[in-house]
Amino acid sequence: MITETRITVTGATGQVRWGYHLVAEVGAWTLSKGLFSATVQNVDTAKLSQAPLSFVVVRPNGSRWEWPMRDVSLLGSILTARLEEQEA
Amino acid sequence: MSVRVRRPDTARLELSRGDWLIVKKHLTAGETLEMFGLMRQRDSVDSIRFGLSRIIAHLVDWSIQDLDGKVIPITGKPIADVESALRLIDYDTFTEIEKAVDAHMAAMEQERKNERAAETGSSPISLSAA
Repeated sequence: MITETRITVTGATGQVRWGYHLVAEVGAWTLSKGLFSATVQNVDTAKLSQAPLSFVVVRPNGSRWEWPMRDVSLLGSILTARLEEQEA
Repeated sequence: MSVRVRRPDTARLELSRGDWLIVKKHLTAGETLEMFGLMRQRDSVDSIRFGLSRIIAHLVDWSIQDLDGKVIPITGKPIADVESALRLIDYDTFTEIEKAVDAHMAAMEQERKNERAAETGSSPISLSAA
């Protein structure tokens, strides 16, 4: 039997990338059931309109978490998106 | 109308002793202008910074290790950190990297010429001194 658990993941830093391009610096962020919300700064608006975008977190041990992003929207300094399955 | 933006594709350049570089295949206009800016010293191109700037502009990742056997981190780092890493390695390695990037840039320039020629249906013209 599969049960759905609601897990919310939060963080203090991250990056939005288009390939190797840095698109935005991410501050406080929240991920819950695929819905992503974050405060961002230093946004490259031209690259933000490109695809595919990824949300990347570099952990203290050097490993990376990376999620493909879709339905990206920016309002002021708040960025929202849907994150897909984490890439290996 | 035509597509004027390139995908951020990368290429792997093999070095000696099993090492490698991951470099950008083609630079954007912004990256090219930034590279030129890094080359400049006051009102002229600094010959010493010329090679350094071309490497910094293209470098995405590498396998170069420090004395502790750890890869010197450069991915996603600010330009100043990448330059610091390049200044840390031994000079023979630096020149090997510079040659690899120079060869890559020449190959990519030829690739772009071939693309333009294909678009116009003509053969790429090679100009040489008589």
